[in-house]
Amino acid sequence: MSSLTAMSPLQDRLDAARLLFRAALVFSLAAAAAMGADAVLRAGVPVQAPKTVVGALRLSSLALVPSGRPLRLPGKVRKGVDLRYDFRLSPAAPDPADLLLPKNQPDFSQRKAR
Amino acid sequence: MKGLRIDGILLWASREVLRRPGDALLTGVCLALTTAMLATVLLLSQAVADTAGRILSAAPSLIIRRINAGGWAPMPADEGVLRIRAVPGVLSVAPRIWGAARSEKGTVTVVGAKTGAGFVQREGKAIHPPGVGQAVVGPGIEGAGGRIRLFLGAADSFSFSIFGRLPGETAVAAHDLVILEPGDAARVLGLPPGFASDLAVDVFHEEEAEALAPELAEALPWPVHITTRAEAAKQYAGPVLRRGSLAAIALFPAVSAVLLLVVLTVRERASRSRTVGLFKALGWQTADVVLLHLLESAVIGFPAVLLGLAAGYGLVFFPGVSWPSRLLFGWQQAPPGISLDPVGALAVLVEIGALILLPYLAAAALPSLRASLADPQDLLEEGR
Repeated sequence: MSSLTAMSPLQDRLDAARLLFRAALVFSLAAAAAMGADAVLRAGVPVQAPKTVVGALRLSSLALVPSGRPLRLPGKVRKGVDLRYDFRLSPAAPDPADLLLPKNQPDFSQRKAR
Repeated sequence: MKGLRIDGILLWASREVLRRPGDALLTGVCLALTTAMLATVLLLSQAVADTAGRILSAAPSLIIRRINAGGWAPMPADEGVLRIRAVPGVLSVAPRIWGAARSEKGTVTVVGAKTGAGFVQREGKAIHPPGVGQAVVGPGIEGAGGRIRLFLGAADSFSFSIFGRLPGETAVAAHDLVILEPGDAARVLGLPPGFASDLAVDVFHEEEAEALAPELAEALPWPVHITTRAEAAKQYAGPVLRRGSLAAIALFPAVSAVLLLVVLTVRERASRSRTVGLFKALGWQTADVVLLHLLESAVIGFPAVLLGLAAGYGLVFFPGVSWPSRLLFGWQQAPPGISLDPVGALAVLVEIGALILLPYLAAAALPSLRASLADPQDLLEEGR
């Protein structure tokens, strides 16, 4: 195996190979270290401020989905209760995320008019 | 001596990669993209459920909502509080006034908060609950001219001056909240005086919350729906996983790509049997040959997979990302920039890395092991 290092650099491209290996190693270590450091240093930090608000206002749901959606209600919503008929909500209130294609949304204003 | 041997094989493996730069680049790109897709979906599902659970650990133990045939109904606050407080095991009970209301820029959640001490500390400064005619709004609410108009039905509208704004880091809980003085909130929501939207109950022992629910229901003279904190947190795991399962349909091509890579790697390495025979004839050991192929794959695979993992991690955990809100959670305009908690992310990253790298490395090692166990002369003749 010692013959591997005895070759002429011009013929065997060992310098380029060494550079490639070092670049791969440095990049891998840097990526792993960056993710590890972020995961360790920021652990628990993003929940602190929202947790204060939830505790102070006694909230039972998060603003991950827009207001008026079933997920914002405690225990969601009873079957048979259609939020589209809640007069306080805008026509856009029903959750379009449940529908795969945005263009397939039902026409709520027509439904209300029936 | 051994260090020198590994150094030599490392260089040789890197040089083998350089012999086929196009192959290496394509393989690396494919591995990185596949890993990024898997990491994004799996990290997002885990992070949303985990973050929601941690934030909601500050929520009330139980929420009691009065219901009737049409849905939920306002509850007489004082009577409800008196009856619930009498149940053994209850630590505290408070009426909540809240609900959805229309504003000029879409639906918002109105919450009534008692006046008094500050309830959110920001850089050492307390944000105080609003007085009559005032509103504290979430980071996603834009008022016109420092005021916000809220509507009750089609006729009544109420205007409030924006007194304070919650900091951006509270967006995941308060993005579209409008916090009002309780009397104002009741007027906006159409609640009669003395009525509440529901009751928030804390219990002495969290484990008893579920067991207490039937007793609480019995203590009240109306039909009620009771939700525990655990049930509320579980709701966030369900829909995300359900939408995640939709995304999983998109992952089938990713898994297919990994399988295809494995098959192609096996075939490509198997086709190099003549080279293996040459190495063996020159005195290489079986371990050297296998190590060479493993390192050759590792030089491509490790950076590519780590690049994919970093991309997925950044897409999910970069503070204030808004694409999940827009794509998955149904926000159509002004989605909240959410910051998810990276606790537990490292374990998921290791799992995904292993899921991609192990088959890929095995696909490189096994054919070379098989070839290097054969007679070098057979391999040299076979390759002609």
